[in-house]
Amino acid sequence: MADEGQAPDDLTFTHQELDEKATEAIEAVLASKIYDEKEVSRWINEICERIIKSLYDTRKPFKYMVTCLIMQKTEAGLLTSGACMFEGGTDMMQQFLWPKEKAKDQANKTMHAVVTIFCARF
Amino acid sequence: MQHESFSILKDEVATSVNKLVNSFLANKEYNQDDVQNWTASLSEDIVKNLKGMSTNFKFCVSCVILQKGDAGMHISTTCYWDSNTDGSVAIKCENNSMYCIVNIFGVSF
Repeated sequence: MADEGQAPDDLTFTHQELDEKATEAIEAVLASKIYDEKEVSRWINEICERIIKSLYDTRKPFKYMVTCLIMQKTEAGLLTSGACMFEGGTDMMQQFLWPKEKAKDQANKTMHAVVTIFCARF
Repeated sequence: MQHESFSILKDEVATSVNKLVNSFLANKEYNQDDVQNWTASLSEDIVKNLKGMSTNFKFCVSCVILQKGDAGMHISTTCYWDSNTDGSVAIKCENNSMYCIVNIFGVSF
């Protein structure tokens, strides 16, 4: 049997891996942009699609659900949380905030983005 | 009980979660110290509720609480799954001081 295109044997995703995918997608779309009501709906779709594509390219036997939220920076408070019922060893759910706390200098000053990635093995 | 497809469950999920969220929000005022606990306990309550509905689905619940003010916010979700069996529901509720948005995903196994 040919080994070309065979999926790797990993059973799950690491937090690190998902963090990289989420950050890469958000940076590609939002870096140095200003919150613009007309553009935001396009940005959120693009971020979600980039992440799904990079997850799909890993060729692992998983179903993926990605949620992206962009909120304008004002004085309003925002809280998010996630809860799941899934298979402990193989499935993953992670939420990522952008800009990260430590990257305050370069990070975007007009908006926050929160990405939730849920992977379920089939 | 087992279900063939999320679309069968969808209405039941929407009604029951709407009820849960509305009763949770009633009489609450946005408060920075408490909100963190609220989102976490609301997500957990919803998942427990869903667990009772079907035995062959995995669920993911994402809950956002936003203080009412003049901030703009957009949310999008994209999924890669089996569209015959899997599905999602988005619930939007509000009270005088805050909005609550819940996204529920059901994936069959």
